[in-house]
Amino acid sequence: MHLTDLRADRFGSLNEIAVENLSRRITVLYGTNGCGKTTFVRFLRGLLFGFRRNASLPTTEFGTESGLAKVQTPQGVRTLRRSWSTSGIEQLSVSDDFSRVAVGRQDNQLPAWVTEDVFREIFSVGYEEADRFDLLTRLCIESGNGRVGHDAEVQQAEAALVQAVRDRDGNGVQGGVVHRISELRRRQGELQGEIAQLRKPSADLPSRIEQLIREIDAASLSIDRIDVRLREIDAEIIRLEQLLIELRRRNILPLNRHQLEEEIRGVTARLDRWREIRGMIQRETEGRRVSSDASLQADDSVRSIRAIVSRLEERTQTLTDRLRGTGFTDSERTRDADVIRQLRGEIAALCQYFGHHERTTARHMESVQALLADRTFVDATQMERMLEEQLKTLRTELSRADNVLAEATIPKYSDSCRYSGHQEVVSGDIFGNSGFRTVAEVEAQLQRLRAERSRLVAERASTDEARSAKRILLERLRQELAGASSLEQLDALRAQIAELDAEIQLLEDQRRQLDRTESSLREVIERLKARTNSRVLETASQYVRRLTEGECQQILATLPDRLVVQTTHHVEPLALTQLSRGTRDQVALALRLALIQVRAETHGHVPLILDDVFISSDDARATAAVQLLSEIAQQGQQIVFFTCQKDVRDLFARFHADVRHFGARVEVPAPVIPAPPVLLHAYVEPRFEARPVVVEPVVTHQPIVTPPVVVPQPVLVEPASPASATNWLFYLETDHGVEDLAGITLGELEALRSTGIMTIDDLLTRTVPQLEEATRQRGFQLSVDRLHALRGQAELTTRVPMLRRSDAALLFAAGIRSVEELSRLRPETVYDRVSEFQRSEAGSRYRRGGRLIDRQQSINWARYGQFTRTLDDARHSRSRFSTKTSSRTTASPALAIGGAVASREPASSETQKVRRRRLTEDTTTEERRAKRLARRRRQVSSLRTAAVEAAIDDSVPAERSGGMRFFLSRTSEVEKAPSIGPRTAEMLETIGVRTVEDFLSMAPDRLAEKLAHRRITPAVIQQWQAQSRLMCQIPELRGHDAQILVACHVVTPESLASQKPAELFAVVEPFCRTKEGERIVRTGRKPDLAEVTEWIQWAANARSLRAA
Amino acid sequence: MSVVRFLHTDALRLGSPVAGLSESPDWLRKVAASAVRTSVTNVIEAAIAGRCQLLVVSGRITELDQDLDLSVTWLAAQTAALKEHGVRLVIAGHPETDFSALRRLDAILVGPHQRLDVWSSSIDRVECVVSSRSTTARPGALGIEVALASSSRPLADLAYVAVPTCQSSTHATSLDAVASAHDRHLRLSAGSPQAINPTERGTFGCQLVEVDLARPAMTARFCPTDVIRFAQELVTCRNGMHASQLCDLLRERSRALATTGRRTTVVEWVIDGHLGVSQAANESLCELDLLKDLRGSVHAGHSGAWPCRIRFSDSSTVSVAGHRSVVAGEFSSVVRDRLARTNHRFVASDSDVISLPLGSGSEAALGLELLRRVA
Repeated sequence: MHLTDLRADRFGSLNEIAVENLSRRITVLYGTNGCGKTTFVRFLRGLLFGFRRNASLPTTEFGTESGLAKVQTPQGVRTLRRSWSTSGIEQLSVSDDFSRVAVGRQDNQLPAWVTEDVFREIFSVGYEEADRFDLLTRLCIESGNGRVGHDAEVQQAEAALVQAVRDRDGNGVQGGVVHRISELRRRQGELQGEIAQLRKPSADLPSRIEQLIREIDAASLSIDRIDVRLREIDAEIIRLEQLLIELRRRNILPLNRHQLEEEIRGVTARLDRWREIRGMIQRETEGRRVSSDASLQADDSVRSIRAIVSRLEERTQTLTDRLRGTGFTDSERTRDADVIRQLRGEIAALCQYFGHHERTTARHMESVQALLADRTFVDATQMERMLEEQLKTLRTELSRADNVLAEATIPKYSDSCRYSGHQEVVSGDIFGNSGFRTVAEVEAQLQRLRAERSRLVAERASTDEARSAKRILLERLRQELAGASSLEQLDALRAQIAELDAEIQLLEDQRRQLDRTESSLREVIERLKARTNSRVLETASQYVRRLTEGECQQILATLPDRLVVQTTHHVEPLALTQLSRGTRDQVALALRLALIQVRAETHGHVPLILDDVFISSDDARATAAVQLLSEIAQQGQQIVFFTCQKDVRDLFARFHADVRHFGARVEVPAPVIPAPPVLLHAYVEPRFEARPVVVEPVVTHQPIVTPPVVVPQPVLVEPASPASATNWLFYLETDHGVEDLAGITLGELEALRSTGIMTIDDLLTRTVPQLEEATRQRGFQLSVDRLHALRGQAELTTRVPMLRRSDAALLFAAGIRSVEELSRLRPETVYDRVSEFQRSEAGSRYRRGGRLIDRQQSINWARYGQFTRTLDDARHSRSRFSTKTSSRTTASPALAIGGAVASREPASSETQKVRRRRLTEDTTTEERRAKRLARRRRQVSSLRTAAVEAAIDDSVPAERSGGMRFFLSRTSEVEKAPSIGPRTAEMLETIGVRTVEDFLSMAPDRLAEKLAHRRITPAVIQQWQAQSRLMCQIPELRGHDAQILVACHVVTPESLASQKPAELFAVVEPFCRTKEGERIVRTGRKPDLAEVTEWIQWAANARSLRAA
Repeated sequence: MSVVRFLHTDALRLGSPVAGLSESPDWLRKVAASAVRTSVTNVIEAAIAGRCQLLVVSGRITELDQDLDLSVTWLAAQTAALKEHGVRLVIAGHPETDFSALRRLDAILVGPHQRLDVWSSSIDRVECVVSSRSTTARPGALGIEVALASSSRPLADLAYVAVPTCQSSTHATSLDAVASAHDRHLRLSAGSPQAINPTERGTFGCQLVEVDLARPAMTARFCPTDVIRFAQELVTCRNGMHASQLCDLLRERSRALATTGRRTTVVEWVIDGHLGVSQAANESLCELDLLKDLRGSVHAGHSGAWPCRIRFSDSSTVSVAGHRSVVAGEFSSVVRDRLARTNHRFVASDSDVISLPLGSGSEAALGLELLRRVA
């Protein structure tokens, strides 16, 4: 869609304002400040999306506001009419212009994606919206058209990168190849120490041995004393235990008194019985001897034998008698004789046997009885004695029991009582002289003794153990003293060191590989991210390259929702907030244009309203922007541009834009200066020779004289009128020399002069990239930021009246970098921004006498900003109060031009006077300049000397922060950085590295490549950079400290802060003993544990590198 | 008896460690710690076994002066066996300032400008005397000097010049190389008894010299005495071989290097070829990973081969054809660009599109391994 007509019937301060027949390309509406341009933009927004009453807007006295817009849509021309009443009633009507009937859809005819926010942030951009990136960034990143998705690959590469870093560095404290190497090196150091100990016994060995011997003797003595005491205690314990047993026994006896008496009675009875038995035995023994024969006779067997013998004898007699008779035969007689003989034989045998048996039995019986009697007698005697003993004991106990029973009362009555039992107890005191009176006391004493014994035993054991350890140590020391270390021990230690060496070598190789891998993966990620950019960002990158004249190379999207800009002067991409205000505005414009272009392909065109978005751009960039807008407009994009700047209006005019005068109201600002200026200058239309362009009047009743618009290529700025003087005081004129700039150094001055930039005009007619290129070609390396600062200061001082050069430098440093920006800011805003900057660390050097600016000063600046002049005016007119002569009259390359300029001046009497004054002053000016240059040279020289001395002495703090000193900052000369001596600094200077900032911002590979020195490898530079970073970030840290830390692989303040002092010292201390460490420490004191602890404490107060 | 036998060895390097062995197993650690001492013991045993009359040490006993006392103490204990067998110790590589410490060894000390003259006095007795080099030796005597290879001939009928160097004259030929002195002049390097770092590759030992004073003639025979031997082996692998196959190949080659003697060969493997990487989880072409893998599977023992390092030759490449991801392709491109910047010998060709150099200075193997791990 395209806007064709706009009309505000009533809206705020607008009244009957109409802009008709808008160009389908670019329409430029030029008007002075306060003519209602911004209000008109708001009116347009309200017309399309509804009006929200803003308190800052003036209300109309009519109560109802209304307006219309005619838009060209594919369906035809539509008229959008909206009215608002103060009561909140809002009406929108859309009608077809051709049929004059209302169309069905009551909307603003914009594509669906153009919401009110999108329209405000993207399509109707004013000064406020130009710096808003949130929605813009989101839209650009979300624009999926043509996007090449590599997120997964990027993530994979980033994960691999993280893995590589983790493999190398671990978690910062432990793990990883680096820490492993540190551990191995520390172990090596320990082994070296052991070898040293092994080889060379320490000088204090004899004294240590003596001391040990003394200690061992003392321990032995102590053990002996303990043994003696233990023996005493044991004896005492035994004595007390016996005493206790005795006491306990005595305490038990009285309870058994009756039992004892019973026992005595029993034993007495038994004794009586045994006595009786003994008497009976005695009597029996005597009786047995008298009646032994009678007993034999009474024996039955003997009697029966004798009866047999008698019968046998009777038989024998019978037979004998019969034999002597007759009547018997011989045979009978013979038989009887035989029988008789047999009987007689038997009788004889029986008699023999009987006699023998009788004697034997008698002897046996006699002996047995005697034995029995004897034994029984002895037993009885013994039993009797035993019982007597027992009885005696019992009686004794009984008598003692009587004594103990009266124990409690004995002491009380012992003096008066004459009872024998009591006397016995008193005389034979069982406690002796121990002082105990009761069993409880004895038991308490016993317990004390046992406790003391336990303590003494433990003490003895510990003393004995300590003595044993000391004896072992003594033995080892004696061996050391005797040189008992052997080649085998030495070999074992050296073999361990060699093994560690081999392992370190492998790990170092791995670390180098990991370094290279990390570097490669980073490059991979960058490449992938570059691929990841959307088509919008690709287009925006092309635009921003044009808008910034190549300073910004590419706009990149970093995950997830952040844009960064790759510039030519920084290795790392910069965030948008890191860009200057002007560059940021140009990036924003590029992004908007790219987004609109890409979206237009699918959603159609939407008019773009720009409200003075070039105020922060310099001339060159503004030209580039106008050219780009013109090209985009040629592709069908309608652009309505509001501006109050004549330069910008002229620029657009040169590119065939439809330029109109916008004047809703004319408000003449009240003079705020006591001496009001006379006419500032008159706008001089350039002479155009190309075809005249018809400029339509915006407001029908306020026609203006339309300037002829031409496109002269190249642009020639010809002064249309002779130079005139103004009543304003400008502290800098375009013909002043560049040395008049505040804060310019001798080196910068020489760099500029060597490139032919002698005057402020020379400086302002060139862009910063041109200046940078020119100085670089001459062998100088001026940073882009510095060139911006100088150029900005020159422009501010040249264009803003009453603004001193130092004030201009302060304003520029505070972020107010263009005249237009100053003119748009309210005095309070100026004050806030400048004072806030002065409070910051970077702005502290801009304080005057340590104080901030006062409010009145900022009010004056803001007011002066309303009376600026253009550069053309500055070129063609001079301040009446300016007595400074043109530097072009000097013998310089600009002499001819200056002469030409001078020749064009009217030869009025005033001019002649001025010229005469110039001629007379030229000499003095030149002399003064020469003197000033010489003085500056001396100052710089002395500063350099002081800096070198400070670097050598290392005692001059660079700056302070929070009471702590930083010995290096990014703005310091590179020579102050650790490990960089004068010779290296010279080499670095030849390749344009002068400050620490320059040194840190360059990649090690690139630096090494440029230096081309065989000893300065990328790894070495990486170490130097790490040292400088540490010094910049950590307060109080000195150069050699940083060198030691980096050598010990502590390269960030975070890793240093997370260290434990003892562990770090365990790494640092062996390193300081190495050759490299000694080279760093030189004759200084090696860091001890206290110093290492301080490092860690300082690291906790580290600042960011940006802050440095 | 007109035959003089002596054993010639160079710097003993007592107290110097054997370097280049990392993360060794215990047995190898012990062997390495005592390798130099064991080799010196081997020298002494060789002198006794060879029925030598002299043991000539033509170099320093130690590399560091501060180790001299300890080394002399140890050596004095070892050389007691020499005395028992009638072998005289000759030390000829030390300056005269060290003689005070060396006298504890009961050895014949020959200064830098001196010569040892040896002759046979009777059938079973050999006489020797130290004399100045400028004087002529007695007729028929053998003159032994320590001098450079380009020095003039000693003033003796038979001359033996011990050229000081760590490596033997014959280490490159064979163990039983025989050098005969047809012109009654023999100039040899015996070398140190033991190599002490991976750059000292090959056989280390001593020279057993037999001199027939009657003929006269001299013959030298090399006797190896080293306990650990360093070697570098080139392994050429076929195209597309994967890491696992490479390990198998190295294992097989390691077995082939095993010897029957009591000697460990410490090998630096150099791999040459165009390798491939599969997506298997346990495959890696990182040198350290390969080394760990190989060490885990090699049972070297005291007579086998122990890998001390694995590296790729400069011409080795790895195929990235298997890595079809965009990130691997970008990584390959970055590595190639870096190599083209830093290594002027590196010329990118069409075949390099699918292969990356693996040699020293290339991060290809490690980077691909990391990408595979995180994939």
